[in-house]
Amino acid sequence: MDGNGVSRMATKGLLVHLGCDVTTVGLSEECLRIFSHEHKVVFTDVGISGMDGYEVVSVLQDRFSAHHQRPLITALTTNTDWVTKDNCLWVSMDGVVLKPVLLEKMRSILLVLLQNGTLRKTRY
Amino acid sequence: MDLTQMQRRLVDYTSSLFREGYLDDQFTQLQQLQDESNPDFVFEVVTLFFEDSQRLINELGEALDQQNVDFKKVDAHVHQLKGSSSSIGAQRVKNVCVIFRNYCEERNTERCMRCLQQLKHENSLVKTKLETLFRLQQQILTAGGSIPMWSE
Repeated sequence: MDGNGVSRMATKGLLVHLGCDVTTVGLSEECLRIFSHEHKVVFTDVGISGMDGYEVVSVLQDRFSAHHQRPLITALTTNTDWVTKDNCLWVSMDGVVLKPVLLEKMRSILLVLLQNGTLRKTRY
Repeated sequence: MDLTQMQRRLVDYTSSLFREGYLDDQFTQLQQLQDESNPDFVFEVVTLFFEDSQRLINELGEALDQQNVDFKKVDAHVHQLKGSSSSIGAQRVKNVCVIFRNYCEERNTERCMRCLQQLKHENSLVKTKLETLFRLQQQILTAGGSIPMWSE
């Protein structure tokens, strides 16, 4: 989920290249509308217009009663400030990744996310 | 010009774009993501970027032309342009955006307007450079050759 069309296209290209099936959305409301159990990982920018990324995380978490059922939700953001990181942790996101992300780093991120269920003990 | 010379020219030209700071690692990455299943990926992303950057530059011009400048709005536009320029590796454009945002925070209209002029200049420059790059690539493909990978 990313309000920036260019960034969205670049990230999609990256994830498709890594073998992922990717759905992209530009708006939070769209994300919540189309989200399904088939989506295992959500990469979201946090500073988008309308409902922000943090609220989307809260809504998605409310939809799933058990942690193992919900998608892994990771912020993908250009904001490097501690406020952003703090907010992401506060809403229990599974990680914060700075974009743009290089290919090998994203490969590694996906591996850690899918193996450990979180990036929170890993520095990216 | 034969194929080898064309390929050499492309490699040299591309290297110069990195050396002169027009492009960074992220552009190399876009090239790496292009394959048989997505043969026009770089061109498509870059095209989208220039549509987006022109729109944002126009909106910035309008926003800074107001009697009471809404710096929050200006900053939001610059933030978007920073994000998209980062995504394609347009380093000089991105760097101007970083400075621009600082002046937004200071609510300095004059400096913001100077940044906008700089943005127009850098955007135009990198657009011309990338058009040349794509033209050189197309010449090679038309001549039946393949695009060489370069090291920065």
